[in-house]
Amino acid sequence: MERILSVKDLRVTYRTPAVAVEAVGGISFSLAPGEILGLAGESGCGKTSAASALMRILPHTAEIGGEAFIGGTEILSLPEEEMSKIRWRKIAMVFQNAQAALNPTKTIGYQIAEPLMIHLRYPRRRALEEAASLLARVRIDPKRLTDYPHQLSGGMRQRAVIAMALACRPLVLIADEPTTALDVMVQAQIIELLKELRDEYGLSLIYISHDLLLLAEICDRIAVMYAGLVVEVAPTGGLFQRPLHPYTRKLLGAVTVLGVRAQRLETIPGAPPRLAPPPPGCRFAPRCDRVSGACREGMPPLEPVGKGRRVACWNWRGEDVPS
Amino acid sequence: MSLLEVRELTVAYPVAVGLSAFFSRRYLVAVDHVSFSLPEGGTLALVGESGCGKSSTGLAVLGLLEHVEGEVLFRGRDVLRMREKERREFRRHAQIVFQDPYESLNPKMRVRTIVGEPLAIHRRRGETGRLKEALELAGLSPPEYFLDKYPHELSGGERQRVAIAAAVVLQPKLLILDEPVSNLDVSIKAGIMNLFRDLQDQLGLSYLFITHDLADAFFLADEVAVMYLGVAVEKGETDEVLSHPLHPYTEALLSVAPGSGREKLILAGDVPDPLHPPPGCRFHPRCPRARGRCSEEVPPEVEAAPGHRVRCFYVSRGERDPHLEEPKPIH
Amino acid sequence: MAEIKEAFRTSPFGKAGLAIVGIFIILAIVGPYIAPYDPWKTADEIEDILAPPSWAHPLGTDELGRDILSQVIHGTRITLIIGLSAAAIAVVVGTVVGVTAGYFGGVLDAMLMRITDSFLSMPFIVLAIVIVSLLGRSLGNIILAIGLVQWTQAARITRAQTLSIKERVFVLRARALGAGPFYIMRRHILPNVLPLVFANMTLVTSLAILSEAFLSFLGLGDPTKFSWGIIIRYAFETGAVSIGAWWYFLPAGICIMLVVLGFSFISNTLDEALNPKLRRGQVVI
Repeated sequence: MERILSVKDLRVTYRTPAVAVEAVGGISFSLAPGEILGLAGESGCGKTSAASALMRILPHTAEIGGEAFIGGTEILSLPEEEMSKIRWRKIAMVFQNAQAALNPTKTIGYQIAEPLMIHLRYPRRRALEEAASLLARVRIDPKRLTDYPHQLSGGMRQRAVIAMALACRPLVLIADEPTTALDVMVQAQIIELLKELRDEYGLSLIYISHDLLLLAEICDRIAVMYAGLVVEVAPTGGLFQRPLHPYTRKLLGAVTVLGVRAQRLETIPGAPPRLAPPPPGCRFAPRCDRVSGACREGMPPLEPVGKGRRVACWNWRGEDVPS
Repeated sequence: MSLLEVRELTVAYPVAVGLSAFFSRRYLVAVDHVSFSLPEGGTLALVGESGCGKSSTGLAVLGLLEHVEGEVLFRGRDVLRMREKERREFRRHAQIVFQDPYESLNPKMRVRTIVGEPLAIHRRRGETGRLKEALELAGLSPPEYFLDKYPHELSGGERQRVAIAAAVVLQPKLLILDEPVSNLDVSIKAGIMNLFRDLQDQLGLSYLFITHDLADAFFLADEVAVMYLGVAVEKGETDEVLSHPLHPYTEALLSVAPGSGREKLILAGDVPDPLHPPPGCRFHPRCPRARGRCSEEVPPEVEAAPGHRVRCFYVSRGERDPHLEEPKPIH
Repeated sequence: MAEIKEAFRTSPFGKAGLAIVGIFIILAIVGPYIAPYDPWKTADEIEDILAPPSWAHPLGTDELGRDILSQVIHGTRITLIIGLSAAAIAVVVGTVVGVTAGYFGGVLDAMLMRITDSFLSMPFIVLAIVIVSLLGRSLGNIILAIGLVQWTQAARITRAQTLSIKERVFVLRARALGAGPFYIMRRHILPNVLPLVFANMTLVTSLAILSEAFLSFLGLGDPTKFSWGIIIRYAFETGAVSIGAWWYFLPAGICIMLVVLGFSFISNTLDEALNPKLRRGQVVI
């Protein structure tokens, strides 16, 4: 199958004189055209570091390893001047904090037009026209082109940021918790918008969130991360019907679901391991209820287990085997 | 008799708009004639989006806000009109847990001082025994390990448990939970939600649970009140509201909750500016069922089924007005 | 605390400040035991009057043949006592005014801040002169005078900090617990204000030492004690400058300069540690 993005053994290590923290410990995944891949995990699992590595926007203290191909170009080793031609044009990103992504002293029209003028060398007038149609596309009245960020609501700001990210028609859009700071109704609007944009432009999306139920609403596939590694990848339906990794199972049991009257929620004892350096063996072993001898010795690889599913667990079969 | 009875509670905040503030004060009405009651040992969830007035309601119930009207009856006595001594006694019975455990604990205090503070303020003997007991109750064991720690030495979940320990150390009756799990990771949040259940069983606590997360509300609460722009638009038992939502806003809100499995009724636009609320029913500009009347009159609260109250013209006696077509998803 | 240690570890000025102030504090403690002479002891021989530095008198003698080195060493203690005590008074008064104004706000805040402004608008040395002339030239009165004119800065700083801390959720939580205003100010506001107060105190100490020198030079010092300012005053009265007796006024002058510099270095380093915006080498987003 054709792949728009393929990532092989991506590593991110933050180095200070005292310690080296391996935030992402070697993850691989790929993205088909028009696919929405969810990256799930709790804070500190490395999901944002992995995404920022693909955008090459990590601080200097971070060391990136592995390979990532977008349309045949390996982007992790590209020199910065080459990367700046790819960033926003082939791969773009929106963040949780739309406020911080916008310049408070410039109109949103100008800010959407800016990438067009810089990267695609559009003349100013044409760039502003294009900005107006982009705004309309994300359902903001084009009259608001001359508004400043503070004049927009939180939801509108995030739409404006999405319009900015889409200005140069990227192949891949990374959305890093874009609705976490927003209300549920606005969140539903943004999710709807992103789905439409995928259908319309054939955009491929990496959607990062801690909220598994939210990912279920938008993603075709979900990769669950724990302590810097992907522990399970599965089509959305399959993951919810039959989670295979013990961490995924626990996580799904910990979520409150509307209309499901649970007496108690699953909890996971303990805390994720420190990653400076990561411990030997399976990183989830100390908190796992299926732990066995093999788990303490080596990190299980992410192995295919049929039907587009992969899991990194020695004992994923447990008592039952997926049909 | 209910432990807490709130009648026609209205909360306003003065707003300074340039020079005009100098001559006439303007007010933003954050909570508009909200009534509800909370039985002893029960849990009422106030749900709604940001700016709906749910947090202001919580603070007003504790008598922490100015410009408040209405009545807040705690065991029949009005908190808003209590004398100093009586209010002090009330404060011993009503405690609050805030959203952000990074903000709600003084960074310069050790856990020992934080949890012992309610005892000190109410001049109760602060023996270490009681502190340890409270920490154990909050699931921090062994308590000795935590007593001399500073907040920055603890994880987010542990800090929230410290805040909970401080809230239960005086053995209160009422706990206001103001978005207590919104800043926590899923697996930690689950532990705290279970803890609230356990504490209620062990201590007979009543909760006023303020949250934007409907699934959390329905997990913990016996009753819910859905708020929109300062108005409680629908109230009732959780199962009843979940299975028969009557107000169009409740319906939309339930449909967009991730994992609800309902057909999405996505409302367009944003919640209006609370400084300039729409006339009539506050929800009418976004309501799929709005008629001429909705923009002119404020709908009264009607009891559509026993204990199930709605503020909408087009709901009566447990049924929606049959002449109205079903709402359609917008856009 | 960690930021403060880090700031002193990385800043050469901070280290220098600590070293200078440390040496003078040691000198103030042990001074009277190591001073070669009694500073009041006059000379018997005429050649010991206003004598330049020699082996017997490393910093020479004054017009009465008294040993300058011993005077400077004894002066260290007096000067530091004046500086630190005046700063302590200033900081205590300032903190009380600032925290009270900031916490209660409203009319009380407006009144206290107008009083602060009026103190700020007066040339402080004139104010100090008035106070000393009214109360008399004793050590205690000088300390009081300097303290009463230097508190305004501490008041401004603590008020600003109080305004931000009282909005924090832990203060709201304490109110919900039924804590009164004085409890909240003492237990919640003060501990979060104190680091800034200490940073300010080091600065005020250097200002107080300068003020004392100035007052003494104007003849408003306590004549029964040897402070560095008093030594310079005597040197001036004797005409040491015109007759070229540099050993008389220079040592005390250099000491004042060094101590003021030392306290200023410490104060700057503390400011950098406590005020993130001033921190170097970090991008503020």
